[in-house]
Amino acid sequence: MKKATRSNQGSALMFALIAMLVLTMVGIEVARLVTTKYMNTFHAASWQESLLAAESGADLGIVELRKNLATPSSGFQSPWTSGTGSSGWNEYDLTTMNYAAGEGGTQMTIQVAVDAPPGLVDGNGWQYYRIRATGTNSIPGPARVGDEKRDLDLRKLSLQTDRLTGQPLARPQVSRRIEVIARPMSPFTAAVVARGNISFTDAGIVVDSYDSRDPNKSTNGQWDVSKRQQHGDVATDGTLISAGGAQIYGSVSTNNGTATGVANVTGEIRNDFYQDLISVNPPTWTTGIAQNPNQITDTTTITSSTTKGGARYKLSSIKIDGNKVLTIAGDPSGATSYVDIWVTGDFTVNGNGMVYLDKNVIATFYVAGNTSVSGNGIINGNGDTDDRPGHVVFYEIKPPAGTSQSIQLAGNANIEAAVYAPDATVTINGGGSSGTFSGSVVGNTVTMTGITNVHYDEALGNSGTIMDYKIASWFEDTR
Amino acid sequence: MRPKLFRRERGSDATLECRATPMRPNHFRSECGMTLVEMLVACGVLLVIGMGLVMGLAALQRNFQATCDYATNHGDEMRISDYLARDLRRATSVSVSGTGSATTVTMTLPNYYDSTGSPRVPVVNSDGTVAYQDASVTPPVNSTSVTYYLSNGTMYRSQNAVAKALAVNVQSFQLTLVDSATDPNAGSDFNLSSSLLGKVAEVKTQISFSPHFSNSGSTQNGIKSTTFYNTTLLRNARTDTKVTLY
Repeated sequence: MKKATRSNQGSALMFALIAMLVLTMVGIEVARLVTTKYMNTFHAASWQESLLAAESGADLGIVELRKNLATPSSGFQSPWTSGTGSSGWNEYDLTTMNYAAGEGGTQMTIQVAVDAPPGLVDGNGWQYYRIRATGTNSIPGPARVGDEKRDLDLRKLSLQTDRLTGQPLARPQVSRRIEVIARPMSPFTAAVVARGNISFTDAGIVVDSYDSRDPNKSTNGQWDVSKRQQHGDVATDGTLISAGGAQIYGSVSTNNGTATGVANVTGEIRNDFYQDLISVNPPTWTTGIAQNPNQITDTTTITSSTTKGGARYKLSSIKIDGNKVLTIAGDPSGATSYVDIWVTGDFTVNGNGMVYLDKNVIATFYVAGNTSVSGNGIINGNGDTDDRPGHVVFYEIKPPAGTSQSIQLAGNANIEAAVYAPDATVTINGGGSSGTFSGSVVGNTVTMTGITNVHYDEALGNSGTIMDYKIASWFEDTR
Repeated sequence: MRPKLFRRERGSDATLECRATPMRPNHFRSECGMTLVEMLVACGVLLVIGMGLVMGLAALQRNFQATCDYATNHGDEMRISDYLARDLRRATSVSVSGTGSATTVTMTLPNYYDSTGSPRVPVVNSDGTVAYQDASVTPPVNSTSVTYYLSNGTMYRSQNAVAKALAVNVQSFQLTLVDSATDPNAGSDFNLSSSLLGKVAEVKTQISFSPHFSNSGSTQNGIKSTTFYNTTLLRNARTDTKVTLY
């Protein structure tokens, strides 16, 4: 019965083979489905991480813009390149490659292009910048699509060729593009800002705001208590604000710190503030500097120019006391005129001394020494309706290492000015009967004592020297 | 020592009964047949084993199908969530109307693309904000809207009156948008400190699906829906372009 025996053994073999075949097919199908889902996960992860790369690229662009603020022409150096972009305007480009330990691909490429479209300028003449960044991330595994076409519509993978350039690819990747518009920022965005502590020691201190541009928020461009605004903000990069019960018509912000004595703060108490306060370097003027005077100690008149940078003075010091007056004469036509004054020493106004500006004169002081305005000293605050804080701007030059710098505003001093002194100790002492500071003050530390009024002019938010860039618009280009 | 095996063998006596004999080589086995009882028992055993196998395979297949459905649903949820997050990031505003399957999400996006689909060059508004505007019409159009809605089990994203299906077979869809700026429970929902409540424009989306198991044995109570969470920071809504601290 060999035949029968062979037949039985053959059936068993066939059954075994068929069973193995079926199980193998089932296994292959399961593996195919699981692998597809696995690939979908990688596609999604790489797609997500390519956005991180693109946003990092935008940050790199903003960092270079900010470098130029701290030190002119220091931004966009190698490996950045410069050339004419696809829009026809000059642009800076950077391509950088990193290796990331993400859940998607490990090879990440960032491409950044920064340009300044001519029309992207605000009414202040400030140039906005357009930053376009592309983040590309490799996709692990084979160049294989997923099982869902709708995912491809969303993620737009580049498997064989780069969908943005048309170039063939050695390995699959995915790219995402964003466009960010960086807006220049004024240093004067709040009433009082400091790197370190801010201390108000009297409940009689009042900090509020007005808008000299808006008749509903000011009277003849001047602060009016009946039109008081609530943007007298106080903020510090430090961790402590002692508000001392002062009446603050605005918000109080620290850098993850503590604000005390805030019972009379009308706005918010926040702890998420940080603003890099860039130190001021001495002017780099080499020409066009008036030789006379080289020091001011008596009543003096200096002229301005209708051209920015057309009237420059470099003085060893300014000291105006008694009844002396420093007059900065404007253009006879009444047109806006400018004057830049670099004081390598101290700037002092006391007694009944006064700095008087003709109509439509905009004066910028760069002071290397200390600044003091006391007694009945007046700077741009004699009651003229055309006085504006934005017409007098003080930039306190960073002192040499190891030396200190101070700004003291005291007594019945009336000042309409913006003061940017991130390296100086600022003291505003009240005690007089009519002392008022209208404008904005930025210091290393700021201390206010006695009965002091600080009225922040919201118009200053669009004036001064550009001190930062912030994102004004964000858009992902999904083409 | 080889064990003595016995098998039934048709005998040569008149009763024709099989008797147990020591096992012989296989080629002599066919001499003995099987009784009806033996056949019935064997068939019964095979039937039981076969039914078990069939039921097991059926259960395996159902399980496999359910797992595939789950993965598909998860992919659908993730796709919808990613679409929503992508649009939320670039939105200037977002609103929600309706509840459950009647939920409609509407977002306002910058009018970035021109009629040819190319990006516009932005302009600066008088208040310092930035706009991508279509200046060919009066007044210029600065924005476009995107709408998400569910219709007949299909999730759509509609922009410029063109609807695109994002997922089909969507059952018991539930989308919840929670805005951290208005959410009374933002502290717990967004893990925000009290000083940030009402100030950060984050939006959390919760997308819930019911897996579409096709097994008739499943009950609705037995089908637990899955929920996909996503928290997105609205880049444009958060950006403060005016004269304030932030």
